[in-house]
Amino acid sequence: MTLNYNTPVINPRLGSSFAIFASAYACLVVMLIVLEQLGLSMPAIDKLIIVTPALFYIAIGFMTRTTSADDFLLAGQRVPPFYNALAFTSMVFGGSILLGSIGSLFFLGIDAIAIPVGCFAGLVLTGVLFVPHLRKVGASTLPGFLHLRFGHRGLRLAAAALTLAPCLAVIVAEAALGGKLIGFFLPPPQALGLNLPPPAFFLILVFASVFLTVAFGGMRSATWSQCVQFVVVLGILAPLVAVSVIRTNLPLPQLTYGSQLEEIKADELAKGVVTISQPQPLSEVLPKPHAQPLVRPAERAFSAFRPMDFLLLVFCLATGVAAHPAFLPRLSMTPTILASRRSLGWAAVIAGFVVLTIPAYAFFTEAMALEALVGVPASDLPAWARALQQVGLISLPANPFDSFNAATQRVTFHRDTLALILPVAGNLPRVFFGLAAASALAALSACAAGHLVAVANTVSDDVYHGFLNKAATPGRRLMVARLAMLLLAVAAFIIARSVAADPLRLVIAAFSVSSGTFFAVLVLSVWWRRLTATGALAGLFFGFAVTALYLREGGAPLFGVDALTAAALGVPVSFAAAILVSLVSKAPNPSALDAVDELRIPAGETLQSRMLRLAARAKPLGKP
Amino acid sequence: MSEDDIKQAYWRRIRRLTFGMIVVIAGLSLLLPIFMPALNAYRFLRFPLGYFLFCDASILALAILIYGFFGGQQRSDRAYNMTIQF
Repeated sequence: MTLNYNTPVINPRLGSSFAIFASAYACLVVMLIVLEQLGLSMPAIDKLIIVTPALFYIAIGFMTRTTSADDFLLAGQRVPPFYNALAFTSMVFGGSILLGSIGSLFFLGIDAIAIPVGCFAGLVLTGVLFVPHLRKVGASTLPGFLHLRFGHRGLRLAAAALTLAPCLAVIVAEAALGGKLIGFFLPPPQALGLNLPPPAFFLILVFASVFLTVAFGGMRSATWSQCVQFVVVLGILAPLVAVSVIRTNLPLPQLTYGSQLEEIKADELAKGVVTISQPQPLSEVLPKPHAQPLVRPAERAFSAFRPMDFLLLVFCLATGVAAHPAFLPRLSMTPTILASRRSLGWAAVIAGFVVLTIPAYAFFTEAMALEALVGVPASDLPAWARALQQVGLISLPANPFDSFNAATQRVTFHRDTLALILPVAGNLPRVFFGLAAASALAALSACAAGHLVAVANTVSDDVYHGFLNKAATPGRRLMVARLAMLLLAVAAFIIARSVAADPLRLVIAAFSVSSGTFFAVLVLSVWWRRLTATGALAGLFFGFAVTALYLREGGAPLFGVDALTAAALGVPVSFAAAILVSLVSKAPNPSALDAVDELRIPAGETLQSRMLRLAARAKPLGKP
Repeated sequence: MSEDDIKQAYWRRIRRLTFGMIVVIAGLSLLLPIFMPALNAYRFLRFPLGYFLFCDASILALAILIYGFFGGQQRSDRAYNMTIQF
């Protein structure tokens, strides 16, 4: 790598700003633990641990406010590799994936590992397929990439429209989850004198905090707040490590949860928990958000997912993460190509750590729940079981004083709030309960904020600046982006209020759609010179149509493909359509061939800066 | 060699590298799970072996291999004089 006048300068004090926020959060937690011992009331602790981090994010968003389009779109392309990796990982493992996979592992056993591992494989696939090439193009959005590659405005507009569907679905999923979670911690609106239904009030709070985080600085705010949010996400390790020390004497839960699996197996046998061990179609077997008992074995492979569903789920998540329109701009935000590669290397390490932690969390929770709650006479239930029931995290059988129904006692759990059980079950201070929720909230706001900015940038850069008003000033473009964020947040709020969607299913469906729509076209646009703009358009359109229709219909399965993994049909159709239409259409024009040759080699300037340079040269001189 | 030949040779090398890595990813994440039930009969570190290989070992392998992959790309960049990047 060579430094030159064009290389953006990284803020040398970044590390200290980051450390200040990280240690401020650690101080908050420690201080609350002390105050709790001194007698601070539980509702006050809950409020402080939930609200203070959100104020941190908004403060960071405000401190990184910007008026430059470069900062707003791509964080000024000066995000160092490690920080870029933090932001990338916190976006891929958003709240729905994090809590959804903990819940699925809890209810379905080891089969559900397909969800986190699929996301991880997608991250690695991004690194392998797209890293130097997308950075070489230097586009700030996915439609912008297609525009620089093909120089076709219709294609850009179509891609911009198709970006909306998966991103909006993810935002709705994350916000719905966030509204549900903060309902446990904050007082209902009536306490503040507002006459709103509580779910709407909590959703408004989630959207307001996410919007305020990113409204001032766009991608710049999103990047730096996501980095801090990842530190808060890591807070979920605190209760896990504590429980691991209590149960296994080792502070390495990722390596010791094998013993928990053995205990679960023994308890399952002793208490006769397992009543279903036959695999079912994916969309039925994935746990639903409402309360349900534990009925499946934890340790038997393919006892929940059919082998084919398992493989297709990994495939859909991997290709979906690799081609997701909100994730790809992340690759262009580093100063150089080398930094982009390093960033994906770091992301693989960080995401690997997250993927190892998720099953540890799920199985420690399951081991404790099975041991102390399931099949235990009501009189022998531990004190924390009552505490959990009071908060509404579990439901014990109707008559708690009836000790005769011990053998048939079925405790029910909620999928999305399972992560909150562990701190209570470990008899840890109340702060840890809030800590687990704060990390889930951090993960979901990081993911929602990233998607909000990505769509706003697409609207402002591709639709407004690229199509409607080419002479727009940066100030104008930023205003449009902020307006788009606001409209998008309002639209997502209305959807989240009117549709009772399951966050986990929604996110898997969103990845399926982005995989079916964009994966084939992105791969071909780098790896196949003959691809034409018409071919790409056909690939996008047919891929999206097949995936979305199959997802929507879901009735009779074709080739045994489940509706949620619709991309398994969408991707081949998209490849076929793109290749066939390209072959019958006119050979690509010289500028498209030039673009593909350029993006394949890392040397030289990015396509984006070359376009800007040529455009500046083409302008008539003499105007002020 | 003309400039175009250099670019072609560079691209062939990158393509080979990428193809190899894709095969590894597909093998670890799509082929390995098929053998999970059979491998789960054995245990390793008290984990079922097939699960351990799919969850822990394959992630470790991919995280190490992606560094090798990027190292390979960097070496090709140097070999074909592609290091001057704006």
